[in-house]
Amino acid sequence: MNFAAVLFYAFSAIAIVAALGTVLARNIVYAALSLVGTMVMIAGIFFILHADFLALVQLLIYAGAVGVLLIFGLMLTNTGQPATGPKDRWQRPIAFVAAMAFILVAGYAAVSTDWMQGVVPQLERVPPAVLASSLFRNWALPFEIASLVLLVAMIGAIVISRRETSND
Amino acid sequence: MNGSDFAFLLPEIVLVATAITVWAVDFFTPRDRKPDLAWPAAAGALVAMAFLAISWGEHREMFLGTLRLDNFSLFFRFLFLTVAFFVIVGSPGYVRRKLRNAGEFYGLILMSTVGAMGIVSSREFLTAYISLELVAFGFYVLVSHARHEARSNEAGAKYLILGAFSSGLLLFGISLIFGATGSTGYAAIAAALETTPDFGMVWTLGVALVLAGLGFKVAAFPFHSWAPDVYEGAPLPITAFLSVGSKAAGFAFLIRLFAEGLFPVLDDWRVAIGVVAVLTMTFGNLVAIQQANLKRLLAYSSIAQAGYILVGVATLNADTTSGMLLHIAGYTATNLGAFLVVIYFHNLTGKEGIDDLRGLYRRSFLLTLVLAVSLLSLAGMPLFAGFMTKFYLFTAAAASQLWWLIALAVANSILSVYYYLLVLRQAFITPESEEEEQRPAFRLPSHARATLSLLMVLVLWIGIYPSVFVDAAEAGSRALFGG
Amino acid sequence: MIEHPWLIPLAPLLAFAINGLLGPRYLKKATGVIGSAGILAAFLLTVWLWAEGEYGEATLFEWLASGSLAINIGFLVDELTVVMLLVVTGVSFLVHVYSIGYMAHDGSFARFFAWLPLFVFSMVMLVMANNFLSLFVFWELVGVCSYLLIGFWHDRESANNAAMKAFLVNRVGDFGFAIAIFMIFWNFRTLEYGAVFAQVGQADPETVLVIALLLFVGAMGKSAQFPLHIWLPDAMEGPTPVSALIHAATMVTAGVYMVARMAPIFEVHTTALLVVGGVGAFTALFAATIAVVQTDIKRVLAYSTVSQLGLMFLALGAGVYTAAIFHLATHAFFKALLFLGSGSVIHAMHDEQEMTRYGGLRRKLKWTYGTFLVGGLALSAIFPLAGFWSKDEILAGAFMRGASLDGDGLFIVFWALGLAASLLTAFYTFRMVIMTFHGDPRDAELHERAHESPAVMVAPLALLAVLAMGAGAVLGFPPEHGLIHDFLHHAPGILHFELTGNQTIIAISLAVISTAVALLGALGAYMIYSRGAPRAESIGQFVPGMHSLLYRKYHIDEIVNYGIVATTKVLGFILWAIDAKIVDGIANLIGWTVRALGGAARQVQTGQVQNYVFLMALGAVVSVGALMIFR
Repeated sequence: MNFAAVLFYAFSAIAIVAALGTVLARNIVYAALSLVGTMVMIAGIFFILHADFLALVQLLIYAGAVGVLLIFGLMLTNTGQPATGPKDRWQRPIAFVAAMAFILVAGYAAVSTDWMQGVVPQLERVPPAVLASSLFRNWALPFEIASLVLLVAMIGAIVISRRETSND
Repeated sequence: MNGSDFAFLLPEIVLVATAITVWAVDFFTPRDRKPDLAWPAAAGALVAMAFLAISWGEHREMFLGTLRLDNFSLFFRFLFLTVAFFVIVGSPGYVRRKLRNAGEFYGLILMSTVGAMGIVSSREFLTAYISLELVAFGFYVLVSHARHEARSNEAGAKYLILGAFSSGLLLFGISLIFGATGSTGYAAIAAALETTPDFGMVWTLGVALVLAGLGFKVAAFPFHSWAPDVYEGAPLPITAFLSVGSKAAGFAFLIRLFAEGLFPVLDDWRVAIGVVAVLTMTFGNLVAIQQANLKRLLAYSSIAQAGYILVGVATLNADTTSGMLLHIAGYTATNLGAFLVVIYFHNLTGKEGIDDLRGLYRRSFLLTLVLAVSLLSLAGMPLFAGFMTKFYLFTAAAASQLWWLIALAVANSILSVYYYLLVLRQAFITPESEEEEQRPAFRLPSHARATLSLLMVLVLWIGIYPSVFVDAAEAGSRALFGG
Repeated sequence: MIEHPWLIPLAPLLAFAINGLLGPRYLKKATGVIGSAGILAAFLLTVWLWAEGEYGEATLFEWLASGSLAINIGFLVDELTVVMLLVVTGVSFLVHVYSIGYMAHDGSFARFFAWLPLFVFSMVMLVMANNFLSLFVFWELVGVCSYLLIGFWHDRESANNAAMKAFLVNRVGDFGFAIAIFMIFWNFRTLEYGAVFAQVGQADPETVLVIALLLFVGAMGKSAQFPLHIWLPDAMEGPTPVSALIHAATMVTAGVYMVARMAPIFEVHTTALLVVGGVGAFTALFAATIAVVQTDIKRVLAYSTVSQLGLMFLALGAGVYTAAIFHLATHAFFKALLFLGSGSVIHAMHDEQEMTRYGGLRRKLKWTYGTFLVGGLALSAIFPLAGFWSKDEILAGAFMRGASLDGDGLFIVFWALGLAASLLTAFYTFRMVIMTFHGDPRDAELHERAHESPAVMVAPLALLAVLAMGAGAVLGFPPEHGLIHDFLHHAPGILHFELTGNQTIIAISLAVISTAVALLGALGAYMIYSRGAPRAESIGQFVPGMHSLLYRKYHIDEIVNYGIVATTKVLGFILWAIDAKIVDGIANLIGWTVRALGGAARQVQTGQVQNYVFLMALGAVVSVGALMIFR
């Protein structure tokens, strides 16, 4: 096992643990921090895969901007009390069983597959200039659609959060 | 790829521009005039349709084959624009009574339409996926647009969570397929399948997950559970939009994916998809019988209708593809008609129970007529679209020799007439009480009368003399299968 | 005329359009005349067509010219079509005229005269279709019209239910029909009769057998054969002229027509004919036994129709198609006569349909009595009325089929069933006549107010009586070589029955036997219901429970109601409950188990979204797992 593989498993393990933390933490700030942790680990995995640019973007936008935004949002809105409400503890066993079943199926599929059969792209460092030209020429369309998605999300956020002046 | 090719994307560009314009104009519009922003939004859809009409028959590959504008995509883009037009035109009365943020409402409908139009033109997973997300994001907001109604909020939250989950399934499936074949382009996947027919378990898992994710979008059993709740909670025009636009987009995704990408391995999947189809239609029809609320009834009925279309996916070939396109077109006109009746009825009475339809015949002849035409069409009665399109679809499906599938589909279709008739019976024939006798006749706005009549004519046109539509559907099918 | 066969259906269609659009507001009572005129025009055009004697196929226009499904809309006019058209339009015209009187006081007069021509139009189109798709479309449209007309008095719950029942039972039949059409298209790549018939000979006989049986399921639904007969007796909830129309001219004859038209498909495999004949013979006797004990005059007639239709299918199964169509025609005359006659009685008795309250009406309703008696004699197949000739041919045909070397011996059994049905037919017919018109009035007050119907109602009765009297001899004499035989002889696909010398003797003895049997039945009814010896009650005691079983129609309705309808509803309810509740239920159950095991009592609350996600995840895992295992 080479160094990259060790790093990969380490990053992956931390990412999974952090993701679990996001879901399971009862304090919402911890959850947000765990999410940031997951994002950072994924950035690490991108680095291992020689996707430097993607890793940087991941760090800057998700770990940085989104994470900070999230925590700011929480600070501004959080009433300071940990989340109360029904604790669906009994749902955990079934959720666990369902998740395990899925992991088993997916794991079995992953292990039993001869991955080299397909066309495996060579891993090589892609210079940002090539990436940029690819992104803005060949992949311009999904890129543009993504910007529309963001626009819609923004409008949606406004609609949902706008204070209503009720007149009826 | 050159600048002039962008001309072929003009319909989408017009829609985006219209949406942004509507959002901007919304700022300067007094509150009581905002619902009327429907008219510029609808006009945008019409202009887009005009641009689309110009490019009829032209094929274009753009962005290295990521995007393919052919007759198949033309067919669906036209369909989506029609849906958007009718949904928007049918909305103002409802918006005035129930919704705030009218400008955003119309703009988001247009944006979701752009997404749907992107899906049908994509020949590549990621572009199709991101387009699907554009549709979904619009719907997340639209479903919960009636913010002061708990049901709407609940529906929006449910749709968001389940939609995110289904997107997760879809993305995971895409990544597995990419892992196996090394590409997200349909053509490249098909080429990889030609050389390597079996990628093993991971391939099965990947396709199954993609099917599950898309099964959610078309509300196929067992991924349907969101539909009744969301349909019931969403603002009525959005329910209509969901039941035709979102569903058609999901099917367009499925059809192009299977025709262009997975066709070499389709035989492995026919029986599985057929089983899902039968379960979906049987479930939808049986449960629809129990419903007392019109929206829920139409929700389950549209689940059943998705089952019929899945018959076409299970038996996919050039003919069944024409059949599916034709059926989707007929179903769209029919279901829009049914929903517009429910919307106008709701605007006038505030009710949506099946019992509340009692005596509709006396109060509005047009509403009753359109309801009758739509429901009989959904039930697959001759002279209406539903019969013609299903006949075409099932006839084509017979070539697959999956007789059990066709027999069950026909049985479902034939017996579904029961619950549609129960609804009609309320409108037509259940006797009224003395007090109900006194209620005044409905007065529908003239644009409502026009749209209702237009949809009714469409349903009858497809049902009686469908040549034009058959030609268009077959042109669309040829774009995928050649010939 | 042959160049423009579309003129025939156009006339009733125009009547429908005019009455439907302008009727309720402007035309009002004039709709009756317009409707009748439309049908009369169709009848006269048919006569013209017949007189010209030129037959063939006319393509009207290209309907669908797609790659896989090319269909032309056209009309097929041959001898079979002409006979059907004459019967349909002729009887319908008389029913229309009669309705002007019968419906005179109904508030929805105009609506009635919109639906009625539409019904006739659909039937005319059905008969004239030259391809399976048109046939199916108008087959369904006939069903829709029957729904509208049976449920015409929609403030009656029973009328609504009957209409729904008729429609749904027919849809069950249509299921078979639809599948048959898909199979036909798949096997022969065309839906035109001629092209299909040309190919059935080369096709796999088993496949053709399946197609034939599926087609027959459709015919069973429309022509009310056991067990799909249950809708027809209830269909009398509609106005009586509608019953007459459904029972005599339109709708129920469609199934018989269809099997006759599809003869080349049925002939391929003898099993198909055996099934058709068997179902027909069984239904004939089965329905006749029910008719014996019914006390509602229209119900007796309804079961009589089911029984007579059974005889027609027996004829089709035996391969004597001419006899089937012949009986279809004579039956249309005398059954329309009986129904309209019963309508006249009901009209006179202020909507009372129970025969137990009739009696002694013959003096008050002279015309009705006279014509009704003629109809009854014809139905009982008493020489020389219409029913005798056609029914005798059917029974003779079945017997010969069974006795001939290449025939199937089972047809002798079917013949015996048919003969038994004849006995009962004569019995219940005379029971009906005696209970209604003879003896003393059982309800003096009703009897007092009874009055003969107006001329507009009596005239059609008289005309139909003439037909019921003479049509049989005119069309069917000499047997096997009458007018109708020679005429239908030319129709493609219709086999002709040639009698040899020996068979003529057999045929005459068979005729004597069936006449004797009919007279015996009539005599029995006379003894019991007129002389009162033996008394009906004492006979009923021979087999305890028999009367109740028959009166309740073998409980078929209950079986269908509880067995099928209720099951479907319960299944639907369960599925709905599953959808709404089970996911929560599973979750609750597991939660409960966990709590019970852990001993911790906590508030259990379900969040639906989680459960939906759970269902989806479960669905994904199960389907993926299944796929992995089965591949």
